[in-house]
Amino acid sequence: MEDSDLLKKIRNPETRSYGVNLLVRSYQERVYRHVRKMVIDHDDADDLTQEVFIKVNNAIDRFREDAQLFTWIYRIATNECLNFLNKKRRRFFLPIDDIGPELSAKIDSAADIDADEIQKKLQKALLKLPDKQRLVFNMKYFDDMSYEQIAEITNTSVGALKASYHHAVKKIEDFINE
Amino acid sequence: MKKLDDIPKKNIFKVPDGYFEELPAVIQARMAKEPKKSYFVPVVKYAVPVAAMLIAALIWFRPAASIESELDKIDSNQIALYLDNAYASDVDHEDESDWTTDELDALEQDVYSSMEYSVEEDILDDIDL
Repeated sequence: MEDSDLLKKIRNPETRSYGVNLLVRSYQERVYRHVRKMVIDHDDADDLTQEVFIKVNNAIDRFREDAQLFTWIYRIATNECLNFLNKKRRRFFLPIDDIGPELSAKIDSAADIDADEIQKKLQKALLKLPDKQRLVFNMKYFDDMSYEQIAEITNTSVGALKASYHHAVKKIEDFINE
Repeated sequence: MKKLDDIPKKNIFKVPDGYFEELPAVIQARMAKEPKKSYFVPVVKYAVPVAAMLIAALIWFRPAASIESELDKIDSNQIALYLDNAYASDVDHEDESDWTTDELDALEQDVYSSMEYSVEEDILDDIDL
């Protein structure tokens, strides 16, 4: 179903509930995977995914359609992830770049992570990147998004994103070869 | 030297069986339970006390005009005229003491009847008819 048809259903009070259900079904997997790569833990990702769709539902009447629905939802999901990670740091009085060890330990211990050694090493290398750089890397490398789409989501220029991505790749390769 | 391209891209994060089948119902149950939040409520919630504090601060810190400076602005003849009138109105009040008891009772009744009327009006305003 086209996004415009989905939005029509959501904006009609008689079909709103059905429209919202369709929207969640259309985007839940992409939102969950985007969030999970950032927070690693399934329960946290589950909570945040629910929160993202509740915020989408609350704000959808103000969505002006000058952006793609998908990038708008990704933007909300990205904000939720960054807020969650910042709150986690504040709760444990951690410095800005020191959430990595806790998330790295989860990669080693979580039963719902199915990765060989090199993939675990890649994930641990990603956790050494600043949150925003990790977001950009995930969207480009894993989600195969264009720089233009990422620019819309992160409100950053394409040039800055290209530089950030190439810098991230270099840091990751350095870590993997240590 | 290992490159990023040498690592196969794979989704390593697993979800419980049936997770995506159940998630829409879980989310919709939460939506039904949590009332839709308005983005304007927090603004109003903080704007009202802030505005009240600003008004209170303006009143509190407003420089008070001294009585002398206010009196300086008024013409002496006008002050003399005002004092003469005030004296005259005091004399008028003294005249009221000459009213009879009946006249005072009638005046009192007029005041009470107008009060009863306005109280009744207020009560009607508060009741959903």
